[in-house]
Amino acid sequence: MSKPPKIAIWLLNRFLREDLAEEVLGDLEEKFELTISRKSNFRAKANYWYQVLNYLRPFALRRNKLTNLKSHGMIRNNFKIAYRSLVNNKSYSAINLLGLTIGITFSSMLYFYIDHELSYDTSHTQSENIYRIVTIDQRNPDKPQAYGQTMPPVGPAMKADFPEVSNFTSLFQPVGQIILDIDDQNHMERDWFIADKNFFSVFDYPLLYGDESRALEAPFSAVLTIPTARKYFGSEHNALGKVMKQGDKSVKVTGVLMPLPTNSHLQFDVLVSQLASDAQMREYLNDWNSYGAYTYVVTEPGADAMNLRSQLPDFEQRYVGEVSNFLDIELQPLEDIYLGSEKIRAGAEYAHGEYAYIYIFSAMGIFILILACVNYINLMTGRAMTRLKEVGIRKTLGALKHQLVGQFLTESILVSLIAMVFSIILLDLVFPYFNLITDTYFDVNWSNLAGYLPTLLVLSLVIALLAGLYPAFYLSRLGAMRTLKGGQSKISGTGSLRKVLVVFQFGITVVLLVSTLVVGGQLEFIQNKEMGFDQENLLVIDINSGNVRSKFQSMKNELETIPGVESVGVSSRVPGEWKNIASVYLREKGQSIADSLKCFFMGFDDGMHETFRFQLMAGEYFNQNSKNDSTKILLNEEAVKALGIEDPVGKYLETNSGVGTMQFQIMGVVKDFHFQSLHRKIEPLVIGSWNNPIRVIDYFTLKVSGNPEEVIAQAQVVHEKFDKNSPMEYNFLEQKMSEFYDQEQRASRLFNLGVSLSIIVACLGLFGLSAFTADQRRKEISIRKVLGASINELLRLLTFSFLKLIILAILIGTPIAWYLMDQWLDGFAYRVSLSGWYFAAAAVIVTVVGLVTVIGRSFKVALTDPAKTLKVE
Amino acid sequence: MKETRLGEFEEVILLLVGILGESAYAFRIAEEFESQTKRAVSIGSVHSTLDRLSDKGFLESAMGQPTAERGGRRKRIYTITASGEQVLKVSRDFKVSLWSQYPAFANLTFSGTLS
Repeated sequence: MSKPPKIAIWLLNRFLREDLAEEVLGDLEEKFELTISRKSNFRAKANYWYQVLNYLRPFALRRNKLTNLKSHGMIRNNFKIAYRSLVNNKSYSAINLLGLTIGITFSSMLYFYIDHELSYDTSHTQSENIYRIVTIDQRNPDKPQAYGQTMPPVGPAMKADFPEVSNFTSLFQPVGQIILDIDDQNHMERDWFIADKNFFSVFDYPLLYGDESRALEAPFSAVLTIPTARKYFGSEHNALGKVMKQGDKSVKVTGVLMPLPTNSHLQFDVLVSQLASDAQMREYLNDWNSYGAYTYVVTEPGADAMNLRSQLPDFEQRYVGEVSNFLDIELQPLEDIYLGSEKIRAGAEYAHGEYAYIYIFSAMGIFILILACVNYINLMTGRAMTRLKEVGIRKTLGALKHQLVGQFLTESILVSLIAMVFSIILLDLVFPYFNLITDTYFDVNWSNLAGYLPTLLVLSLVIALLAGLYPAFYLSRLGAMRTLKGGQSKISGTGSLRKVLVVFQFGITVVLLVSTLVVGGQLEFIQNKEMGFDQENLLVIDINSGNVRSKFQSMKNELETIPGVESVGVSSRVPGEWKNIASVYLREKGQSIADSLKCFFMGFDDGMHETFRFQLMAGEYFNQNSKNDSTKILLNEEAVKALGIEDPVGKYLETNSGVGTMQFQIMGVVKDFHFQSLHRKIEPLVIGSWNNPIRVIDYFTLKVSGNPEEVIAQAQVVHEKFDKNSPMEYNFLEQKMSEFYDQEQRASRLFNLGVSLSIIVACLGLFGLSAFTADQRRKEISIRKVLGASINELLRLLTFSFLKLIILAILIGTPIAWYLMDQWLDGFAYRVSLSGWYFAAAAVIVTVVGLVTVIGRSFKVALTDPAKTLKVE
Repeated sequence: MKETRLGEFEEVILLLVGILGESAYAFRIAEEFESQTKRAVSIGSVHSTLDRLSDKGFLESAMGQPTAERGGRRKRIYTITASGEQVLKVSRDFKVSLWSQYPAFANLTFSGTLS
């Protein structure tokens, strides 16, 4: 049996009022036992600490004994002295305050950002026990591909087979959009799911109106979000019970959702219970050959997920062993979905984060704080000379070492607390801009800042200790005799430390600067990379109705007549596609199924070639007159290479479909083009004709040369003629493609901000230090000047020592930056090479900025009239 | 003069003391709070509120009998005083009066008994 942590109990007994000890210890022990039984040993201990710290409240604290009064007075005195020292050295105080304020503000912002990223899907009561079923396709053992969907019967089967699984829910999205008809007004929804009746017992998405336990029970029920309810019925208050049409069926509104949290990987506007007949639905739910279920299972509290995982291979064998033994299923913790789904395709999530960025931004926040602390340490120890008399007199009057340490620490605490207050004000002011940079919506106001205050306070105290501890011990260590003898005594020991710290600061700056340049360079590279097709001015219109699909030829003809439209292509998917691309397993005629190659598949009509302007390498492209094209295909070069066919044109390929084998004849080869984001290499692609048996057409693509707005308006008129039910859905391809790189864009913006701030903080420190050194050497400079030294020589003298440090920092920072950036770039299939230019540019920037900082101040000293400095003695 | 108004958190804690009756001590109240509101709370903050409510005269407390669990330590059991009940009633009546003034809710009937 495990016991509460001893140190925590000891601590509690130290500060807690004696008369409370018995009841509090008892309560905490009960809590501890309960946490152990529900969660884990570790959680219980952590929670115990949390509870103990939460007893640090005025009512529970032991009353101070009389002996503390004296030190109470000393603390006040310390604060007074600290305040005076701040006011007396306004410029140094300003440098310290500014640096710390920038550091605390920026790292707080990053904290909010990271906290938000880590908070995804943690707010459900059962969050810790919910797992998504992930299906892994092992057909290519070198490159297993994970999908966020699984077979519909998996959920029920797991619940039946495993006592650990207490509940499950499945979501489906059989088609990309659903059209709901409210009083003859058509609304098209893309963010929708079919959800089973368990949905609300697995997830906590509270309903504003309606009953969670019954809302999705009956078929043809719908639950709407508030904005959707407003859109349909004018107000969320009267939506409940209203009836909508979906095709020829009536769907009743049975619930209105409270706003969904932004930190939820599931985002939707409409949930419906069932849209097909019971028989159809039953058949689908029992089909082990379809893969469209987003299934989430709930395990019993305390159940061992590892144990459950280990039973999954048997489970698969039992149900799908014979049909598809290349499929594995896995459990992915709900709380891991947002950050851990980089490699998972076809999940229900629209956006996902990356752990890499969490690490990068945490490091950045910590670095900028360290930079600010280093400034403090450098300026305090550098100015030790000026505090010597004070220390000496205090010592003679009987001050003990720990009292002096206390006094200097008070000073650093005061500085960091003032910086904290400034930061809070600043945070409030700059948060709207931060939201712009990160594309997230933090609702930062005083009330949730208040929740952050304890963290901020702890952070400030840690900074105060980090920055103040060394100077405090250093200053109070000096002997009384030496300090009082006069200003001549040399202080040794800190010169080299200061140098190391300056090198450290500028080393970090170099790393950040190189990173910023490389990230920026990579983004520009991606955006300007030749995609292999013409992506400019392409307007993509979705086909959302069967009527359009069957009469597409006449709609296409009408679209072509719009002035400002050069050509029109019709296809199932487009190059630069943002939705899932279908795939097909192909093999050369006569080879075995196991040798099949997975290829992406798109259906194109004859207009696509002219519209997208990709190149044909061999054979020919579909033309308007060919009628027998439905089984003809084109391959890209990559597919030809991967299939290993020589002289492909005219040869036949096979695939297995539900009804047997299908044959395709290769009619041509296209030059490789990037049909996916540049995160991925060019993969094998098969282009079928518009009437191919695999995928129906989904888009018109218009090459626009005229005014896009006029073209859109006229296209809407045409669309209206063919599809009266749904509004025209359109996108500009270029814009959609730039969304592939949203995350990098966001990171790049944060990097730019972070690096600018770090440079400012580092330069502030350098400025203070050089000013200080120059002031110290005022007399020396004056004498040199009297003896005939020129301004140039003096400047060289003053700046050279700093220049050496900066160059050393560049030498150290460069390889670190190279290593880090090489790692980051590995995430891209197409990347810039790490040319020397990035490093050279960073080196030049750092050197110039550093020199300007140092020279600016030194110049003033070098110009001073020697008479003025020398006459005082 | 002592502050006699109730904050939202205070009101909930006071009600929970009433609900729990004989087993109203800090840990149980905190657990009940979490399970009823789905909000996390530390025992310390519940305890501090109980202490404040006692200062205001809304609660009384006495140490219970030692039991075998929790290392034989006694619990402090809280009970609502007459003025505590009074202040709860005032608070409810005030809210009911506000509800009845809001047109959208005015026609709703409350389930449960109103005195």
